[in-house]
Amino acid sequence: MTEKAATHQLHPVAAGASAKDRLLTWLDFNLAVIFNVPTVVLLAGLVAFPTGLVIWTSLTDWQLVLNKDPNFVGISNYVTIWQEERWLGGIFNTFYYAIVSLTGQLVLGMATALLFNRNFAGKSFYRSIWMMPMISMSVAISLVWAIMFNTTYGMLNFLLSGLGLPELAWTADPLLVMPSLILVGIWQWTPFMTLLLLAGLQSLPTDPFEAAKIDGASKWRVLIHITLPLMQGHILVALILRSIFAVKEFDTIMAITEGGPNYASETMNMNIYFNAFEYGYMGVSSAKGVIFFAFILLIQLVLIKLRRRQWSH
Amino acid sequence: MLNKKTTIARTGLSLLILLALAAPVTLAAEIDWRKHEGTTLNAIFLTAAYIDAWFRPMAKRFQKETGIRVKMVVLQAGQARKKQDIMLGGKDDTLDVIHLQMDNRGGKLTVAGHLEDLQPYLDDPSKTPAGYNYPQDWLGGCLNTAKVIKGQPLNNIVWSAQAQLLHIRTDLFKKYNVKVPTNLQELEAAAKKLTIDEDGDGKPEIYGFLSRGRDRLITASFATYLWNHGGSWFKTVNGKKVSNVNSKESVDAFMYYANLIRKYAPPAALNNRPPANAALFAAGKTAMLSELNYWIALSEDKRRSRVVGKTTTILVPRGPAGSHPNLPTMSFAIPKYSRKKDAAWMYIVWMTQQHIMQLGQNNSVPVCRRSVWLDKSFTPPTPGWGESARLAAEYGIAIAKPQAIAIGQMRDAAGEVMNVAVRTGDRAAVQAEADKQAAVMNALIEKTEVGMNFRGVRPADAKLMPESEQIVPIKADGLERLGR
Repeated sequence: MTEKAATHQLHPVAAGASAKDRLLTWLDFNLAVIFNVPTVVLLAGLVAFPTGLVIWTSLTDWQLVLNKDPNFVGISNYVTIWQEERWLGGIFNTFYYAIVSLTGQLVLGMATALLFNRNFAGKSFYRSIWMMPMISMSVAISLVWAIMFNTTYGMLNFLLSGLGLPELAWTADPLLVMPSLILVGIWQWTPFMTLLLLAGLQSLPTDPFEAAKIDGASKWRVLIHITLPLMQGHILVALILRSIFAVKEFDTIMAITEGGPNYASETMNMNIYFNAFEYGYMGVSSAKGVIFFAFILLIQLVLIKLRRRQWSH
Repeated sequence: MLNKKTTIARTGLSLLILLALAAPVTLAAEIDWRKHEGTTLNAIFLTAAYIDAWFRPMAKRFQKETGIRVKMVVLQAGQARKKQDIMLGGKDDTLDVIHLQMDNRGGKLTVAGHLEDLQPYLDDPSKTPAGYNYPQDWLGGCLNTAKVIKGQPLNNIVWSAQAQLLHIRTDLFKKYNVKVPTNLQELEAAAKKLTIDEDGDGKPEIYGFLSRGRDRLITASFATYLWNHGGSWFKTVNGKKVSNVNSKESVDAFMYYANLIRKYAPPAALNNRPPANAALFAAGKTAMLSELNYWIALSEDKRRSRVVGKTTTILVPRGPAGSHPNLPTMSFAIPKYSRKKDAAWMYIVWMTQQHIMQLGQNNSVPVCRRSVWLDKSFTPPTPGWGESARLAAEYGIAIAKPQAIAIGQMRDAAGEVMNVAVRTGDRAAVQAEADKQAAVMNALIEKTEVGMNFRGVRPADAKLMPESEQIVPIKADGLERLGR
């Protein structure tokens, strides 16, 4: 017997039932569908429609300002963008920033999480201070960093100079600009990593650690052979969350360098932004947006697969 | 006797009839300033020193006099342009007034047909006061910038005669007896002498020169140096517009300007936006600043400057190709899609009246009306500022940006050449980058300007400034004898 038929048996509409009874029965029967309609409409309006529009726009030559009707150009935008040196540089910068920044955040985040997992005087106070960069406004702190990076009156060069070291051009040097931005990323987002990993550490079972202590294992061996393997799942969750944000980092880079000098800090989404709103190439920009979306999706699929494999262990 | 009386009576009667007939005409020519009372206008402005000093107080006064509220959105230039572009591209009918540089996006917006033709408003006596006097009372340099495409309608009212000039520290020039530069060689010599390392730690306390040194931002401040060297953004070959950034003269200019930045400017020139550069000058860190002349309001601000009473402005020194003051004027325009065009025009006309512009001019906001420069109430911050601004407004041309449809990319391309020039100082590398970027620019012209005739910038648009004028601002401040 099908589920529908069974439901009908449970809620039979008697022959000659009133319209009200029939309506109530119908409502009762379709309640699940009715409750889901607002969500589906909302998702269609806010996700499906814009996504579809971007995909459609990516197949046109729409120019924002020139006030001409867009022409359908097929997949030509998807083909020509790979000839753009600047776009390829943007892809490199995106992954350079994401990988190095995430690695730094993970290592430092784990170290600080281990520290805050211990008991010491004033722990709550220090933990609150540590979390401050994460809760600050990105643009505001980026502007402060921009002043600190300033080659003439910035604090960083003042410190280098005080230590007798040569001053650096920080964000004005194409070779130094990405490391400088990564430094800001690590400073701002390591606390978030700490928070996630600390939650993980505090949820670990105590038995393996007690057993290791009885067996006389060194702290280093406990870390390598017990803590980190047990933390794998938490580390992967933290990486999934942070990688999404690291790949689409925008406000910090925009506020500090605007992608310069020589596009040396221009990431994929900055390139998309400039193409759309500075140059008005909505078609090309949409194609790049779709590619960017595909990249993020791919990264997440890989990380989720790793996480599932870890859980199956 | 009777005849005489009759004649007088008849003449008087005739005059009365004439007056009675003329009265409605006169009344019709009056503007009813309260006609749009209760209207709110949405306007997008670019950040500038004059917004708080002049625009905001005037918006309040305008509301008091007309009952029209101007809702001002003031954004950093790049953001303002993007917001305007998006709203115009979307034919947004809630945007009523835009503030723009015609030499930047004017061509693009004109081609797209986004701007309202203002000639009918100007010709309508019920909308424009009888004594408005456009274009007769507008300075020649300003009018040069108002139309950028052949056959362009009057779709903007140019109001600001801001010019890219050279701010100098008169006290330092006097103290070290340095010749105030009239040509580019003298400029470099002065920058060298005024790069001063007082404590001998290898790090100057005062730098000789400062100007924009990063990416696309350089185009506005570099333009005069480019043209004074005989270079230009574009040239015409066989009737076709092509890039000229890789010509010998243009590369000479890139090398010269980059050399000044590299050797005599604080390293921050590579990071800074114009307000930060102006702040460095006001903090007394540099002897010269190549920037817009309205920044004198900051260096003469007692609350924020350490160099009050110690600065003036002069023209950017002449080069082998003469002196071409860069006049990146600002204009008002009305989007074609606005539902309140008449009220928007009323605001534009009100703001550009002689007595309102006079208030701006008297607050160090150089404006385009000739009469306000001649008015007795106008006292320039310094005599040199007044003279240099007047000469720029008279002889200046809009050379700030590479005038093109793909203006953003053109600016990026020019910025790339400068980045290489500043970083390497190697002529071969600069030439190679200029060749590369010229090809990029030509491809953009091919792609975006097919069948269009951009008027662009032509030296013939402006009266060429006589060599004798170069020293006028210097003499006005009595600095011409220094360095002898």
